[in-house]
Amino acid sequence: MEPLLHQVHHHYGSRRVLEDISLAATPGEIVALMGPSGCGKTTLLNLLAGLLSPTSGTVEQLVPPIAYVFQEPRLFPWYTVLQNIALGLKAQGMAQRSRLQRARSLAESVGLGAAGHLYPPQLSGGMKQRVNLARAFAIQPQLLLLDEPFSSVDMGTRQQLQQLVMTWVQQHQTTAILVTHDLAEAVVMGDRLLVLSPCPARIVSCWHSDRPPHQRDPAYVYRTLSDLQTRPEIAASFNLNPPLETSRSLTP
Amino acid sequence: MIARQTIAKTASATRSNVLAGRSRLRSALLTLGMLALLLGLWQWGAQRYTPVILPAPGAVLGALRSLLGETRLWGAIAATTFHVVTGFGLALAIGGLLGLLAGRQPWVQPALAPISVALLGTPPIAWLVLTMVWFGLGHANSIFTVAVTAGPLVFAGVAEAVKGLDPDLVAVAHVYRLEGTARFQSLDWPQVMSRLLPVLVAGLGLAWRVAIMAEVLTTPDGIGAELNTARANLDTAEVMAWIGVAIALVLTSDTLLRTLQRRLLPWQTVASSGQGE
Repeated sequence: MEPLLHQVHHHYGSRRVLEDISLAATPGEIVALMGPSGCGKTTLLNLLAGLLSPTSGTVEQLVPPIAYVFQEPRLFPWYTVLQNIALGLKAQGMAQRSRLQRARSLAESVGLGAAGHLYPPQLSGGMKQRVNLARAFAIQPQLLLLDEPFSSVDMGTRQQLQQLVMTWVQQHQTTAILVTHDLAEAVVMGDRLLVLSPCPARIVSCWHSDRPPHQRDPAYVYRTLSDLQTRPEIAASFNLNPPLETSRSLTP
Repeated sequence: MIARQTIAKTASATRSNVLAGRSRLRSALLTLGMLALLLGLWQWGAQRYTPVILPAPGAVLGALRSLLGETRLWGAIAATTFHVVTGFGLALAIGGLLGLLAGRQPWVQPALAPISVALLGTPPIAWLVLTMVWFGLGHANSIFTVAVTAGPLVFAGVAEAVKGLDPDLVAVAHVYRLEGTARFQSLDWPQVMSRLLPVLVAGLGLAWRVAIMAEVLTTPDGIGAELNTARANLDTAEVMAWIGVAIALVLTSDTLLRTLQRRLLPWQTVASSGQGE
């Protein structure tokens, strides 16, 4: 386990957002983070990415490169798909020919082989998210931060992109932190699931998956989902009604 | 799976290219048809009225052809170009500098707002009355009027362009450690250019029209001045020939700038029709 955050507190003015968060992760592991809207999940990623400094506590100085897959694609509109993918490589000072070459093979691997020359306005939402992912993969990050990256794409694309990330993380032994609103996504992708409480966020629940990524079939996912939803600390965090009582009150 | 999708996508792209080609052909035909109709109407009208009121298209073409052989055509074009380039250059220098300042210092824009509103609100023709009083008759009228009408446009454009970078993209640059010249190349410069160039295209188009108008009334040379002379001679065919010259000039400058824009900002001209997934 490598430490990432140690007893981190964060305030925006007088509003307390994060309270006593400590986090460690193993390379090759996907840690899924869930919690109610506005509970500070994105703040947590921004701290890890160095876009924010914590009010107190320590953020480990991680070895770069760190990649961040934002919720919106945030592509540079004046760059083609390939140039966007190669952005981080350009920052590293790689020569244009070799960085475009690497971008081309990455575009191929995320299913954008024929779209390398297109500009962002010509892409669909799903294609933009693929570029966003490939841009992150390009720098071969030690730490991969994902902020609800698949929340605005259709189900089929979502499944493909989830598989892409899981395979990548396994192959490259990257540490990945995935923020998601979708419990099913957390169960499919996460090796570990951390649930945050409403503001100020604390880690209230931790669950470990007992299956390796490629063995998480639909039956397992559904079973785990219903099991997790009935846990009181998870239900409380999301304000869920206990499912059994709801169905009972609906029957005449 | 993915490969199959890509092939389907390419196929649909080819189909849409064919469709686009067909609709381009149709619009070209429509344009030509309309042109022929207008020429016909013009010819018909010319037969009913005297040449002073409406000369025939052939007569205008003849006047244009004889102009092409005369040195005064090139002299007039040179004079008008001089007025536009100098006036617009002044607008760029002064408007650009103030715009740069306004984009960087928040207090500048409100301070300059009354001036900007007054300049934008004054009709260009009103400036001519003032410049005649101030400068008499000469190049200065035309140059000043161009500068004073295009200046506020440039000012607003530059201020907007440098006001701020998109914070979302700045965060991306930060995460991927884009710094120094690499960051300037890939973030600051393209963003400023993408906001600035369209404003310049619009500003220059305005500059030509204002320059020629100013020449008609207050300047002894340039296309506008020639227009005025031809009018005084009741040579309507030549008046129309000069109008043709003016249109050709404006079109040329516009095409040049748009080509430059396409070259520098290819992403702004791509069709935003997504290909879907």
